[in-house]
Amino acid sequence: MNKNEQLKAYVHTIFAPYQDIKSANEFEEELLQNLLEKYSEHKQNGYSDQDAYQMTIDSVGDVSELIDTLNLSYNELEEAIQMNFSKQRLTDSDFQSVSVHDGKFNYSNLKRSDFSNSDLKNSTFKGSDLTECTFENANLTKTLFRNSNLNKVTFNNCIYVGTYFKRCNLTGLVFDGETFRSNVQFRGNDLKKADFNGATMDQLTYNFLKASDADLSNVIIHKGGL
Amino acid sequence: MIQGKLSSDLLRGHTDTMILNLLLSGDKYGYQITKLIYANSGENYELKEATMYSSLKRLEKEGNITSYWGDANQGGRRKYYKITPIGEKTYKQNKRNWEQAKFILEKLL
Repeated sequence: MNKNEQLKAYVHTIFAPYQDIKSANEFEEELLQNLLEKYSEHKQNGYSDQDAYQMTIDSVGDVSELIDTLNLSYNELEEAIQMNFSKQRLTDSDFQSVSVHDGKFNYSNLKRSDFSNSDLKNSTFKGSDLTECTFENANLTKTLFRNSNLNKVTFNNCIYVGTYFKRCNLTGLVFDGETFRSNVQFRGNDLKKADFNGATMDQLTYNFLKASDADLSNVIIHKGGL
Repeated sequence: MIQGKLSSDLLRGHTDTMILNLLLSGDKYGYQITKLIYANSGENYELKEATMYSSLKRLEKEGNITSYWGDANQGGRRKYYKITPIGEKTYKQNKRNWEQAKFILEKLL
């Protein structure tokens, strides 16, 4: 990703929770335009890509002051809590430790985003590109992954209850040692070379995986109620 | 570059007036404002984007400035800020206040 793209992603991350608010969209466009021009001028003055990028980012100042400037009404903030990240380009976004339950991440480019420690309860990822995303200690209760690209995604120590993987690319993913507590469903996924070594799951999940020809040697089947 | 937080805070308090001063000579967009403040300060003061926007939005709300989108060029659209007659009055008043404060502080400090 070039530095202009990186600046775009950086600014987008600041405003990501306020996508449905017109004033926020315009403000994002305005700030990005300033930063792109600033970056290009630093470059013309002979700074390296990295130095020019760093100077540009440093010139933003206090991000919370920027959000205050939006002067959002209570209703608008309430709406932002019901986050909708659909149809967004959110590559390299940092969602660490955020609570976005009921979030909609549909038809989005989320490559390399980090969802570690986040609460994604009831969230949906439909038709999204999640290549190289990280889900560590994430709560995936009733989270739906449908028609999404999960190439090289890291799942580690997540909470899986009623999590649903439907028609996703799960080739080569490592679920070893993960605990699928109950009603985790895998339907129509590509599970070639997916690794479930030492994973714990109930009979239902086991049957789904078995039907998908996943390698289930060394899987521990529990009787539910974990 | 001004490093101390205090001196920076002292300057911050006058952001509105600095911006109004720049707009007196014509409409400007965000990047132009930060660039001119850096240049006109002898490269001693960098106005942060967050500080600038908190000032611009306040000035707009108070009727001191208005804003409009310019045409898209190769990069993207720029939003321009224009000083209003109210803004010109505010500038003159702020400038007078500053002259007075400077006069007093120079005797006291």
